[in-house]
Formats: sequence, C-alpha cells, structure tokens
Amino acid sequence: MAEVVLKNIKKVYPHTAEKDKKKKKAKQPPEKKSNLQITEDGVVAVQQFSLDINDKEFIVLVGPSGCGKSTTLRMVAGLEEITEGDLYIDGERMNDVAPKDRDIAMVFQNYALYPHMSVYDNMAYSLKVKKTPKDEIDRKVREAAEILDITPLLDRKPKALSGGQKQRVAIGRAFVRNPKVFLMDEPLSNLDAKLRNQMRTEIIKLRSKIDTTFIYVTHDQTEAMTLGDRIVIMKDGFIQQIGTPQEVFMHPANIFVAGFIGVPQMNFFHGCRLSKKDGGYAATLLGKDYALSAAQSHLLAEKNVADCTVTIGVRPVDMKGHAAEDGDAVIEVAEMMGSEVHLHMTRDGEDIIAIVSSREADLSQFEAGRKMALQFDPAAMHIFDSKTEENLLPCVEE
Amino acid sequence: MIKSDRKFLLLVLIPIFIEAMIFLVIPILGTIGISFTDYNPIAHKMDPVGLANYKGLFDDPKFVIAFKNTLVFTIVAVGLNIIISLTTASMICQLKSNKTRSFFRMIVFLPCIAPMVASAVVWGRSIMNTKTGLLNEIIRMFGGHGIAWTGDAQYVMLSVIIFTLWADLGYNIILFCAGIDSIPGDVYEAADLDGCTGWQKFRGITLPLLGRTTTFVVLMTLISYFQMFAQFSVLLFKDGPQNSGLVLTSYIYKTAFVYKEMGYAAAISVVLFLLILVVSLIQQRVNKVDWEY
Ligand SMILES: Nc1ncnc2c1ncn2[C@@H]1O[C@H](COP(=O)(O)OP(=O)(O)O)[C@@H](O)[C@H]1O
Ligand SMILES: [Mg+2]
Repeated sequence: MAEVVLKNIKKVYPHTAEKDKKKKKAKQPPEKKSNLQITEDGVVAVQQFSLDINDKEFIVLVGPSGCGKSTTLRMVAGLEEITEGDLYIDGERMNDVAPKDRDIAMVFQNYALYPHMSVYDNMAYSLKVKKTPKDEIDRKVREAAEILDITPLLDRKPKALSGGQKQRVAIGRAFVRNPKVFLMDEPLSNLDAKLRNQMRTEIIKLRSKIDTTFIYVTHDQTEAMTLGDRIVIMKDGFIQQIGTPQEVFMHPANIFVAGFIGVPQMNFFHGCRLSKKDGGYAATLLGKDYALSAAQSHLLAEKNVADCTVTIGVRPVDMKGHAAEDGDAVIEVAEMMGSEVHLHMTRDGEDIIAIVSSREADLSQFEAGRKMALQFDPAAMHIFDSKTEENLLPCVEE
Repeated sequence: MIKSDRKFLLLVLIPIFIEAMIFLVIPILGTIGISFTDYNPIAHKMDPVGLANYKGLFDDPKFVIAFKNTLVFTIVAVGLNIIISLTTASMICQLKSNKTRSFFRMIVFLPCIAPMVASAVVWGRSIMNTKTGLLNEIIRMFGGHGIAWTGDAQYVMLSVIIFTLWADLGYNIILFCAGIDSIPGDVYEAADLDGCTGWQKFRGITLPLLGRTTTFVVLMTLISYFQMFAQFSVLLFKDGPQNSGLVLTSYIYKTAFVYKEMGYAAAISVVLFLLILVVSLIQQRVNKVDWEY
C-alpha cells in the first residue's frame, strides 16, 4: 500500500581508486559491453529516472543486462545510495531512511535465504525481529506456506530445496511481512523454462492476494508484458519508454523499444524515403510507394516532418507475402510452430521474419530458396527517424 | 577411484604416516609407558611403579596449583581472545575500503610475526617492569601507583593474559575476517530489509554463519593455550611469587629436566594430554554446525 515516486534519480558508482580507474580504462576497449556514461566521478549507472508509481500498481523494469535495473531497484530498497534526485514513498522522502525502516520487502535473484534457518524460520525471521507475538507469526507463516504450496518443506534447510522451492520460500519471506512495496529482482531467471512459466502464473495469483505495490525487474520481455500494469524500458541507464504493455507494443517510442518488445523481433527496413504527396505522406518501402492513412499523415504534418530518410518497422505478424519469381526476399527456413509458421527470410544480408497462420497458408510454397514478394499495410508501419531513432508516429489512432 | 590414483595416494601418504609414527605415536606411547616407571636418567633407574605416579598427583600441592592455574589461564584467555578477536574482526570487515581493511588486518597481525619469546622479553623489561615499565609510567601519569605486574601474586595471571592476548589475537582476527568475508553479502541485505539492527544481524546472521570458523578457532586456541610455555617462563621469575604463575607445562619441564623425575613428569604430561582431549571433545560436541550453503 504505497505510492512510490522517483524524481530525477541518478546513480554514480564512484571509481574505487586511482589505480582501478587506470586498469579499467586500459581494459575497457576489448570488453566494452554497455554504453554507460563514464564521468569524472565514476560510472553513471542510472540517470534522469523519473517515475510515479501508483498505489497497488505492478511496475516492471525491463532492459538488457547492465542497463541499471537492479541499481534502480536497490536504490528504492535503500541498499544503494541515491547519488542525486529524490525518492518518495507515500509522500515521505526516503533518500536517507535506512532500509530496515522503509517497510520494503525484496526477493533477490539468488534467493538470499538464511542458510542456517529452516524454511519456517526464514519466513518468520522478520516478524521475530519486530517482536510479533508467537501465535501471530505462526498463523502468518503457515498461511503464506499454504498459498505458496510449501507447507511440507517448513522444517527443511534451504540447502535441501530445489531452485523453484527456494524461490517460493524467498517470496514467502517477503509475503508474510505484508510490506508497503514488494521488490523483485529477476526472481525467475535462475529457473528452467517450464518452472518459469509456472512461477509467472503464481506471481500473478499472488498479486491478487496481497494488495501492494510491486516493482519487478527482468530482462525478459515476455515476463514484462505478462506481469506489468506498466512497463519501464531502460537502456544504458536511461528510461526509453514508460507505458502499458499494449502502449509499448503498439507505439514503441523508438527503435530500441520496438526491437526489444515483441518476439519474434520487429523487422526494420533502413533508409526508406518518407515524402509529402498530395497533402498526405507516402513511404517508399522496397521500391513501392505506400500512401499513409489520413491519421498518420495528420500526425506527421503536425510535427512538421519534411521529406526525409526513415527506418520503417513492421511486426512479423503484420507481414504479408506470396511466392513470386521476382520476389524481395529469399526464404531460409520455415519454422512450423503449430498454429503458425515463422518464415525466416533474408534480403541483402538482413533477416526478415514473417508469421503466417498455418491454417490459411499453403505450407508447401515455403520451401527454402524460394523468393517471396512482400506487401505491407501502411497502418501497421512504425516509422522512425533515421537519425534520432525516435518514433515519428508515437500515437496513431487505428 | 582408478588403481593408479590409489597407488599415487599411497606413495604420498606412506612417508607422512611413517613420520607420524616416529615423531608422534611412538613418543606418545613412550611417554605413557614411562609414566608407569620411576625413570631417572641421573640415578640410572627405571623400575615399574604401577600407578604410583598418578596416585601421588593430587597429594602434590604444586601439581594442584599448576592444574588450577592452567585451567584458569586457558578459560579466561581463550574466552577473552574469542570475544575480542570476533568483535575486532567484525568491525574491520564493516570497513568499506579494501585498503583500510588490509591495513587494519596487517596492524593486528604484526605481533604474531615476532617470536613470542622475544616479545615476552621486551614486555618483561620495558612494558611490565615495575620501576620503569611503560604501563606503570602511564598509571603514574594519571596519579595512580605502579603495579608489580609480574611480582605480585595478585596480578601475575592478569599480566600473562594481557601479554598473550596482545601477542596472539592477530591469528584469530584474520581467521574470523576470512569467515565473515565468506558470508554472502545478499544475506545481510535480506536481513537489512527484514528490519534487523546491526546487533541483530550480528546475533542472527554473523554468529551462526561463522559457526564452522568459530569451532575451528576455539579448538585451535584451546589446544595451544593449554600448552603455553614461553611467556610463563620468560615473563615471570621462577613461576611468580607463591607459584602464582605455575602452569602444567612449566611444571612438567621442571620435574623432567631440573628434578630429573622423568616418570612423574610423564604422568603429568599424560594428564595434560587427557585434559586437552576431553575439553576438545566437549567443545566439538557443543559447537555442532548443521547447515550448509
Ligand atoms: N557496485 C558497483 N560498482 C560499480 N559499478 C557497478 C556496481 N554495480 C553495478 N555496477 C554497474 O552499473 C551498471 C548497471 O548495473 P545493474 O543495475 O546491476 O544492471 P542490470 O540489473 O540492469 O543488469 C552495470 O554496468 C554495472 O557494471
Ligand atoms: Mg540485475
């Protein structure tokens, strides 16, 4: 039960020592993984992070590894100092409040169970520390164990649990506290695919049982899409977009978000022309002109977009095509997924993926090496500025 | 295990086994054997006397004093050692910077590098000396009266314990530091979020998770403190006034090499051996650790 407000949060990890700095600088070129900004003071892991989280909202922070998700979460928890900016929980500034006084529970990626305590004691510990009466502790722990289906494990030590069971205990430990804010840092990433799906469903169920604010970190866009009320997509320490799963899927703010959200990935066609024509706009894609809809043109006109080079993105489901001698792309593989076929094609060395319903299409035409002529629905086009990579049609009404 | 591996193992282990037989097992058995005789190398005699040496022990007032002193010294010194080294180690480990941590660890470890005999000489001459010693100078500076640290039966044990702690704390601090460093950091973070204060984290997390280290440290310290010899013989003059600093090791040494009563000395050695054995067994039973990461 809490509103969490992050205002222009910034985190700088200081260079540990003069020597380390030199070492890092020497090492950096070969192992340069992320493009985090490095300043005089250190590595800027998170910056300009502003977000208002409503009471009982489920927020998911998502982004590639190293983009600053965990850092943000740990700043909310108080495990990491906030370099700049303000954190408010229920209107109260929390920057200098100790983690133990923030009434926040966190589920760690590596569970972080107390190895010397039984499952029961692991879950009871926070209540014991707060001097909760014994019978109340017992009631709460057993209730949580029942919900999480770990009652038979209560006497075991963490060592004797499987990964999935440990994760349940870790969630149970946070659950019994009934905290203001519930934080989870990649809670499912150590589990195998099947367990992950199962636990994902359980987290959704769990959510309906504890009415509280969730902040959930993951690098997995599927988790983000299925769990989040709103998703925060991050890259290199910056927020790229904040929105509901539908918003970020339908109207990605830029090329990065468009490519990150949705599997298989959106197809991008670089170097396309966008031109004004007869009061409207037209996009040239693979040599064909497509007139954009009135709504799209209106938006572009409002933004005063002149003729320019753009990158056009089309989701695999929105791709249409038919086999043709003079087609645009060559089929490499047709993956039969059951109800649909993933058609992997290549054109000028770029991969293109289309999803075709296996019921409608004549599957025999998708032989490797055949050429496909592609058609596009202008309404399904995402048009990005080639230079800024921003979406030029951020909010089209379909 | 494949055969050649086993051969290699035997090849490596046999010399160690032989060494242990010659220098450990045979002498121990020999000592036990001698303890049933009145062996005296000067009087050239070695006749079996049965249990006479053992029966005489508790009628020997010097043995009783030595036994009591050994127990008191070991219990107090080990207790203080563990408390102080654990506290110091957990404070050192809370330091954020690696450099300062190493610096403090080095400082506390320094006394361990010096041979105990040498530092005992220095302490006896210039720190605990009644007239010119540093300790008394300080006491006098604050208007007190100097204490005869090693010359007053009241203070003898205290002096030896203070010196021993100074000389020996470093090892255990290093061991405890290693133990604390091996506790995963996220367990502490979980405890932070669970609402623990610093003391609750120490009680609820550090202490239990240090169980294995503590068992080892307490055992090794107990065994070594039961056998402390150097500081008693160097720091004190003739075992201190009224034998106030007489411990079993010094008494064994005296009986064997001054009075040449090898049989009796052997009997005292066997008693000390049994004492250490029993205390170690109890200690291990008490500190049983039943969890794993
Ligand atoms: N304690 C630290 N000291 C220095 N740099 C750190 C520290 N923790 C994280 N970083 C850096 O900050 C960046 C963001 O890390 P993190 O928030 O853990 O990313 P994510 O959880 O999104 O994978 C990474 O590039 C990482 O190298
Ligand atoms: Mg992370």
